[in-house]
Amino acid sequence: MSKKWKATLLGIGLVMPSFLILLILVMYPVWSSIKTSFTGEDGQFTFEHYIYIFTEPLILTNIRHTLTVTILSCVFVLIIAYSIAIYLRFSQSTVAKWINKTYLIPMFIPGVIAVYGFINFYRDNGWVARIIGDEHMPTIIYNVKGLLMINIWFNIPFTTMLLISALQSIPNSIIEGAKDAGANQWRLFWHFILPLSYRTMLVALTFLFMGIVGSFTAPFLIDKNAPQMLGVSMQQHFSVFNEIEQSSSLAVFMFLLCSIVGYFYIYSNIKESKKEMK
Amino acid sequence: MKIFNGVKQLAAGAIIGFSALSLVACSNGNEADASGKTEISLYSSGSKNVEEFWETVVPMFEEEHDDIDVKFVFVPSGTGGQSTMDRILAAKESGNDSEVDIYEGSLEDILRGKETGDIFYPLTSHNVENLSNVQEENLAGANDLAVPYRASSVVLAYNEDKVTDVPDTAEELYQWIKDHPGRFAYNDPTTGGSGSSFVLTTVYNQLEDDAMNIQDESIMEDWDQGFDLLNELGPYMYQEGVYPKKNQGTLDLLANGEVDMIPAWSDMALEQINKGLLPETIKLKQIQPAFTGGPAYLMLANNDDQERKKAAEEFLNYVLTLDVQEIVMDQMYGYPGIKWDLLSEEDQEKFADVMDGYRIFNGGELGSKLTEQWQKEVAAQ
Amino acid sequence: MTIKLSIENLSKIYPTGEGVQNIDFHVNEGELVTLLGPSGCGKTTVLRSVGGFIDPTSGAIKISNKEVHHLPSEKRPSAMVFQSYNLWPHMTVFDNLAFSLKLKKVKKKEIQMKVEEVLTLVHLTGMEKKYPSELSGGQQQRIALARALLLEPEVLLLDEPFSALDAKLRHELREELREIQSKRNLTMLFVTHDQEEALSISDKIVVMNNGHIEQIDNPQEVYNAPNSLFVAQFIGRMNFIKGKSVNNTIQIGDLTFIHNDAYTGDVTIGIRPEDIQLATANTRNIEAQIDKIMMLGHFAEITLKTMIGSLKMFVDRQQMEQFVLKSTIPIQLNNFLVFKETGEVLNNRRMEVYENI
Repeated sequence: MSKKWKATLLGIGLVMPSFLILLILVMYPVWSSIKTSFTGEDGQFTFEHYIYIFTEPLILTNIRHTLTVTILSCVFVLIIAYSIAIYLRFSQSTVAKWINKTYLIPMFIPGVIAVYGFINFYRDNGWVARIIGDEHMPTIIYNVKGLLMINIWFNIPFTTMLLISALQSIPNSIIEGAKDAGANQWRLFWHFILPLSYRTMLVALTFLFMGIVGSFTAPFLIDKNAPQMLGVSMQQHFSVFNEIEQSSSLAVFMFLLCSIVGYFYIYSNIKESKKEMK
Repeated sequence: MKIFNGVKQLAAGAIIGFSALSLVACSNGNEADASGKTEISLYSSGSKNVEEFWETVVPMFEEEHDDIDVKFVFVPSGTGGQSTMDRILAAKESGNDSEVDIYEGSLEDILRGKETGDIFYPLTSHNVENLSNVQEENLAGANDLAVPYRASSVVLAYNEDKVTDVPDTAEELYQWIKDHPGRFAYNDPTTGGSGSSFVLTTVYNQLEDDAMNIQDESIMEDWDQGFDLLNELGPYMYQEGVYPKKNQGTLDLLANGEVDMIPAWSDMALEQINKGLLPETIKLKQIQPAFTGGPAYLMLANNDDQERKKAAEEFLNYVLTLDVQEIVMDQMYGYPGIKWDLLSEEDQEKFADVMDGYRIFNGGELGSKLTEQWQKEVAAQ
Repeated sequence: MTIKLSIENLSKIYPTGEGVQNIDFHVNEGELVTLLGPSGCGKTTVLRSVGGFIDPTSGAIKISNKEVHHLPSEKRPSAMVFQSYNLWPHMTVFDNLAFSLKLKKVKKKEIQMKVEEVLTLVHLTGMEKKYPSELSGGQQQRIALARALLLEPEVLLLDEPFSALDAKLRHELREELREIQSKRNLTMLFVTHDQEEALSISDKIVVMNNGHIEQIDNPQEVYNAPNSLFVAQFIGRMNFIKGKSVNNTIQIGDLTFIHNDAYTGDVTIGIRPEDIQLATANTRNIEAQIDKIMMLGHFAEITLKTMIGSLKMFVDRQQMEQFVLKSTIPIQLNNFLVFKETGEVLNNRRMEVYENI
């Protein structure tokens, strides 16, 4: 056996374990879901489950609801996280130092506990209501408002972390050079900080979208009974209505949604790196 | 009460993929070992309280019967409880030993067993003496194939400080709801039995008395009247139509005083009142016609092994003794399986508010069809 | 000569207690003044204060006799070239250069013209469409200089602009900078820690140490007549010999150094290597043994063992044959400086040295 062959075999051997795990844990369930979603009761190939999810008013409103909640959450999270990141990057105040020390805390609180805490805090006669008075308390729990809030709560730490590291990688001399050239705060943001960090925003957006579109715990416990987020609807079809094929087609649909977002991310990355390679 | 983990986008696929693997995972022998002990296995599933119950009872039994070893296997709910039944069926078909001796299952399992033939040993007071002590009405569904060793039902839970005119009948309940907007809540029926019992009884109260035993889908056409009523009640519900998730969701609302009345599982409510999780002002009551409920059944899987059969029968007999039945009441807050008059007056007193019985829904698959229709028609209202 | 930039009694104290104090100097129009000192001496703090990136604690900064220290950097008539990461990576060379002109609403045609002109000045014509990542380090710094020039600053500030480049390129750019400076009559304040760089390009050097100014002079004076032990040590090479001065005499072994500043106390004598030569006369010479020879291209550094200690001298390549390792030669000391214990120079005029007989 030649050396080259040995090296090739060694390479394959090293990759094999992780590839097999990928195959078993990811590829197989994906493939199996896709297959199930195209299988009718008689075991024959069928589109009926896709026809169901795209014609059934219940699912259509759920899809609309999911996209609305996801997009709104993404927008809110990005705006808030970006503001925090900018503040932390450019401010040396004590407040900034405190925020810097604490903003990651929500990441270390288990999801379900956070959701129950959130419910106790904001429910109609919860802590907030007790402080500001029941009559001033807007309905937050069992409402889409609550869902948006908890999505923001869950996603701000990681998004802020990503954006801060992007902003910190912009050297001071670039910003000072821009100021020197006569750029005011607004131009500094618009012509320098934003273009130099938008790619990380895109990464953050991808993570946010994928995380929120498929979320389950928070919408299950906080959202209204209808319309539902697709994660909740899928779980319901799977384990309550025992409609495994329909829940599979929903899973495939969500997978496609995430793929589209992922594609845009990869596409813009390739475009950007081509620009740099030129 | 199920506790759901975060199901992400591909979880459904993953579950499909893995339920196959989990079947393969468990297997070992139930042979009589060298010391002459007979080893039998007990398969159960459900909530934490069920697991705790058996973990108390099994050692008690083993202490009294030192020639029998009971291996307890608990399959938490939502992780493929059906697979134990599938395993018994598959073993029967291939002529193998299922290695399951005692199986805690549902009414549906008994019916499947009956259809398939001799997968369960017949159980009468001849081989399980204490069966003669079991409540008659529970025995009906058992078909001589199961021991209904405990029961629970959905009842009305209300705050006696706030509710002065406690409804006695379903009609009075609906009227009460309309008279007190925002003070009643039932949980999302797709997430817990107390809510689905409310939906189920509201729909079937509009139908013939024995409609609950019909399994033919044609009856779905007659559901409309009930759903109209549910929709009519919608705006009078908590937050004009919010249905909290899970049985605990409505209990929390009641505990916080956000609502004054809910349908709840008798055992959950009793346990939480006794542990102080619900205020003492919370009282329970069964209305007429009653909410649904039902016994939990133990069955003996037929593995053609007389020695293990005998040991298992001994175990079933033991479960129906007063000692164990008291644990059912004191620890699980469940209804006892044996007749009320065999119990002490003190024990009877504890269940006085709720022992007015319950109805058993025997519609099989229609149960999930009903919740599906609820999701489409009532939730999206 | 008109004063273009004047820094008056400037202080900047950081919370840590470090900073600069009582900085006071000026730059005339068309002058290139260098702030020279070791890292941490405060030279960059001064420069950044002028640029508007640091708020001074007290003092005044005036450009063309107008106070600017209260203005934000974008409103100051100064421009800065940084050590590195000068260019905006997401913009082409053209956009980098045109940015400030666009802000000033200069017409497109004029922008085009000005950019071309400045690119010619820095020898980088035709690079408009490139991104910074496609340029070499030297090219990037040239573009950075060009960008600063387009701001038409009254004072151009340069913060160690060449320190990230290799030696050869550094020399090249230095010369170009000097050329451009004289061509355009630019006023520049240049920060460096490299004494050779400072000596080669400056009209005037401000030597800083520990947050204060040690000396302000032209390069020649700073080299020849350092007014403190620190400056003498920092700029050029020097041999130091410890001794004791009694009035005008310092006696070390058989050697007597006579200076004309009466002082009694511990002193340090400083002798530049080039002030040590092969003796030409028979008198006043010292015997020295050649201990080490290190060839440094066109000259050699020779370490001598003498009765007053180890001394270093420089010898031209052409004269090397007279110097043989371990041989003994007579040397003479042409010049020396005397520093007090505090580092202050005693008197920096030429002295006499002779051997006691």
